[in-house]
Formats: sequence, C-alpha cells, structure tokens
Amino acid sequence: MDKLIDYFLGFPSSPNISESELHKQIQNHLSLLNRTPAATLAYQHAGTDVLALLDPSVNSLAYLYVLVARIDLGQKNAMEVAWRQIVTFLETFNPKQVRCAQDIFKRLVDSFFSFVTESGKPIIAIRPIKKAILRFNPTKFSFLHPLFLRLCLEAKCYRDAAAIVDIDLVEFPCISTGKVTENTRVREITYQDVLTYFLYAGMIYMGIKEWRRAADYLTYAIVAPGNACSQIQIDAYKKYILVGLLLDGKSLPIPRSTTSVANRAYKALSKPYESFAAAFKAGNPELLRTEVTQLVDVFRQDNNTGLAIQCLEAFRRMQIIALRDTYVTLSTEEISKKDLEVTGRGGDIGGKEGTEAVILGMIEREEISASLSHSHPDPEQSQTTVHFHNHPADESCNLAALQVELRRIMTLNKQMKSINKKYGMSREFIQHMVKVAKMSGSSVLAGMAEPDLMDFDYSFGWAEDEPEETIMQDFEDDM
Amino acid sequence: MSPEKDTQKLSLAYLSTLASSSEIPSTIVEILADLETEAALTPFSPESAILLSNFYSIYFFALFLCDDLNEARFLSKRIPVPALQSDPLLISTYTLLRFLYTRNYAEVYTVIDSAPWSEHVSPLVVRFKGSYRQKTVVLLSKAYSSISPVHAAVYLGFKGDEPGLQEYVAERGWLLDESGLLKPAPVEVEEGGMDTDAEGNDMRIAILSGLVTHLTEA
Repeated sequence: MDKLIDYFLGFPSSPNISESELHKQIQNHLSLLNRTPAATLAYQHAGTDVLALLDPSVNSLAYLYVLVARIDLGQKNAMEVAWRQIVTFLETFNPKQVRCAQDIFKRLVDSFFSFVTESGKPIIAIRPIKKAILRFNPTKFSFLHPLFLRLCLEAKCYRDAAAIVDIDLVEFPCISTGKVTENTRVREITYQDVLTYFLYAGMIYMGIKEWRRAADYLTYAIVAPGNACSQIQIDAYKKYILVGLLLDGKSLPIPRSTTSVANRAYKALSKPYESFAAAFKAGNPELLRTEVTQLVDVFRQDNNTGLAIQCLEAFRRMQIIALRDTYVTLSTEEISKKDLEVTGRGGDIGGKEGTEAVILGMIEREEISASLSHSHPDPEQSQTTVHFHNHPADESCNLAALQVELRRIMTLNKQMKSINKKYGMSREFIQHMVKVAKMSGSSVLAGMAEPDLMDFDYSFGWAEDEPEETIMQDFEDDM
Repeated sequence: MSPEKDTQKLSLAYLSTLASSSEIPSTIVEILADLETEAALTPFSPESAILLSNFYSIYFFALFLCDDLNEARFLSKRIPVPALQSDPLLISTYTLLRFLYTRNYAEVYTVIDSAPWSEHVSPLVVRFKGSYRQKTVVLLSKAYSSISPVHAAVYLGFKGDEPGLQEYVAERGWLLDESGLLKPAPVEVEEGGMDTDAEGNDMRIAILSGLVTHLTEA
C-alpha cells in the first residue's frame, strides 16, 4: 500500500507538463487504478487516512477512485463519513483528469445524490455540485445539470440555480453507440433528462419571476422533436400558458416547429387552461372569478396553484395597463371602482390606497410608463391621479439593452463557429458524409465535404484556441 | 473552501466582522451561502440558537441589500419553522421580509427602528435602512409629479419627523410649492455604467471596434 500511495502522489509528475504528456500519464494512471482491487484502495493504512495524504486538486483521479471504493465496500454508514470528503473533492477536483474517468465520477455523484436526498438534506449538495458544473464546461449539457436543478427545487435554492440556468447551453453530448462501458450501472444521458432540465429551468425562473426566460425554457421542452409526446412536455405546456398570461396578458402561441403529435396532445389535454386564458384575456373580472372557482381542482392536481394565483394578481395590473389606451388621466378611486381585484383576499387591497400601491409597484418594475400626483397636502382630502405617458422607454435604457443583446449575439456566434468546426471534423460527421457520397456518387463528397474542411485552418487558431479539446475530444463526448 | 474551514467560520465573531465589513452585498451572500450547509446541519438548540439566528438574520439582510426578496422568501422556507416562529431576532427579520414583500412602507420603518436587533446584525440594519430610503426616494422621483408631505414621510420613514423629511428631500432638490405639496426633482441618470471598464475609462470606442472586428470576421 505504501508503494501505491507513493505512486498516487507521484502523479502528475510535474504541474507544468505538456498536454500530450499529461494525457499519457492519465492513461497509465487510470490503467493502474482500474487494475487495483477496490479492497486495496479502500484500505485504511495503519492509522493514516490515504485521503488525508492526497490533494484532491492535484491527485484528483486517485482521490476519486479511493472515495468510490470506500462507498462501494462500506455499508450505509460509509457515506456518513465520506460526504465531507466528497464535498471537498467536488469543490476542488481537476477537470482535465476527471473528464477521463466519467463513469467513476458519475457513480460518485449518483451515490452522493441519493445520500443527500434520502437524508433529507439536499442543501448539502447544492454548492459543491454548482461548483463542479462551473468547473467543467458549463455551456455543455451534462448529467449534472438535471440533477442539480432537481436538488435546487427540493432545497429551494433558487439563487444558486439561477446562476447555472443563466448560462445558455450550446452543446449536448452525443450518445456513444460503439463503446460499451465496463460498468453497466452507469446510465447514459436520456431524452427525459434533457426535457426535465428544460422544465426545471422554467420552474426556477418562475420562482424568481423572470417570465421571459421561463417562457424560453418551456418553449425548448415544448418544441422538442420526437414521434410521441411526453408527459413532461404536457406539463411544460400547461405552465407555458400561465406564464404567457403573466408575461403578455394572453396565452403565447404554440411555436411553429412543434411536432404535430405534440401539437394535438397539447390541444387535447390543456383545455381547462385554454379557457382560463380566454377568460383572462376577455378582461371581465366576473367571468374570470367564475372560471377560477371551476378550475381550482385542476390547478391543484397539476401543482400550478401558485402560478394561477399570480395570474390573478397580474390580472389587475394588465387591466390597468389596458386603461392607457382609453385614458390620459384617471383617479385611483375610479380605477378601484372598476373592481379589477380578483384574488378574493378582501381587505383594502382593492381600494384606492391599494390601487395606488399597485401602480407604484408597476412603475418600479417598469411595467407601465405613468406618473402619480396628489391633489392636496391633507391625505383625507387628497385625490391621487394617474397620468399615463405614451412616450417610449428612455433612450439610454434602449441603448444599454441593445448593447447587452449585441454582446450576447457575438458570444453565440463565436460558440456556433467553434461547434461547427468541432462537429465538422468529428468522425461521425465525416463518416456520414462518406456514406452519403457513396450512395449518390463521388461528386457529392467533392462538392460538400471539402469546402467545409478548407475552412478549418489547421495550422492556426485551432491549436491555440482549444489545445485541450483536440486531445480530449473523445473523452469529452460523455460530458 | 473546505468544510473544515466552514466549521470555524460559522462563529459569531466571524459573522460580526462580515456584517460590519464594507464588502458588496452579493459577496456577503456568496460567503454566507457557502456557510449555509454547516448551519443547516446544526440543529436549533438553546446553545446554538444565538449563532444560528444571527447567521440567518445577517443572511436575510444581505439579500435585502441585494434587492433579492425572492431568494429571501426561499431562505425563510429553508429555515426550520419552529425557529422562525420562536426566536425573537428571526421573528423580527421575517416580519420585515413580509412588509418589504407586500410593500408596506410604514411598517418597514417601524420594524427597522424598533425591533430588538442584535449587536452583530445592527451594522447591516443601518446600512439597509439607508439604501432602502435611497431606493425609495429614487422611485418617488420617478413615480410622482407631486406628493403630499404626509405620504412622503411614510414612504421615506420620517413619520412624525417633519424637519427630518424636509432636510432629506431638500438635499435632493425637491421643492415645496405654495399649495403645500412636494415636487420631486428628477434623479440624474448616472452616465456611463455599461460603457466604462473597472477603472472608469470610457470603453465606447473599444466596444465599437470589437463589434466591427466581429462583423468583418464573419
């Protein structure tokens, strides 16, 4: 065992070795680790803990294998001791090394995940897994993504989740068809994983009331391709209708690229939601109240009660915005007489004071362009008048928004180019092109594959930009 | 940050230093979020109550300062209900959260001024009161073309302190007209912001040339 520890500590031989040398060392190291029996790895050496000797940020692979060996061999209580070490590992590991041992890493995370869920303390795993996602390439979907969001929803940690879902995904891993993994317990990323991730991300944004982003993520789930419709998509669509009401005051259209199967399913299975949206849009408070009393159970069954209540709160705001088209000025008293308060909470929130507070909130969130004025210093005699403005948003705001969009597009463009390059050079794509060429004569190959390859410019850029990707590409595919 | 270090950090002394530091609120939140696991694993008991209630209270105020009431609400759901309902410090903080969330300006200031804040939390309470008042005065300038002094006093927490209100709004250029109403002055929009780098240099040319380079690349 002493020899083994020395060997562990001797890897990598130096922190500044070249990429190819590191890769070679990782392979040697892995083959040794794979040969060593779990019992030897998990062995507690004469009072000293192997893990205490290893540095998880340098000897990541050895640390990972020892941890997994202990969890595999230990009884249930192995986790009680190991979880703190797992946390340390997830917060400090070296991604280049761990990328080469995906299956073992997955096993570690899966057992950690079931431990925190079963012990009822999902919060333990939130920060470590968040840091692990950021440590890998966070724009590429991994098995960590849906797990993480589920934990966040369970633990109610929306701020941490938002930090991850704010990063747009640009890449999904390919399912490795040829390779048979040694351990069949390791699961591949499935279609459901991706769909649930989109649904969960939508739910995170609903929690923090960012309706635009929520609608975007739900759209990704709704338009997912396939020849059947998943329940996850139906759930996403129901929420999509309610989010649309909160965003625009009307239900958003089904996106055009939705498959026809899904389209039919949505229409058939979300009738109550459609009628709720119609009542909302009609702008008649009485109609909406009746509709709600009929739908209470539906919303409860679908776990959409909270969202529906927020729609009712939004109804008054949407109607106040609509008044802008008819009036230039209006007193808060007259607005409150329109009886737009449909939440049924009673009290004075429907009164003129409540109305004034609602409008002040709307001005703060920039939902409406208006100003308020009091008519008398004495509150008893004072009337509040609302002046609706129709001048567009402030010029400097527009400029700032434009700049944010430009930056976003520039980043997206760069990401798209690099992905194009990567997939254009991938074995699968070239094989596919060759197959196509064989089927329809060699002219297609000459016509299609070459110009693409010409663009790639092997000598510059490529090697400098992403040195690790050229080497790690095969291993990265799973992550 | 390793968990062992977190155990040491979750102490009143550390929290106190953090609360009185001049760190930006989002940094404080990040540090506290790292300590939350440790706090969540510590059961509420007579011994741990002081530490935990101060921890969570400071956490709440850091989130208030970040203007993240949503997360503050979720934080209140992560704390064991008995603690939230029995600890005086947490009760006050939670009450404040409710008033902030429902935009009950009058009660917000009452709670800030009268609740039994601990010495550890106090620096953040003072900081929050200042920033809340500042945020509100900006909102009022935007939302009101004329406002009665009585209302303004409620919004800005000067109820029963007429001279205080007059002084505060006069500093910001508000005028009292002949009918006795206050006329808010428009708030100067801060120039730059997006167009300046960390040192405050003008970045507009750099941004523009970046864009042009990008377009010519494609």
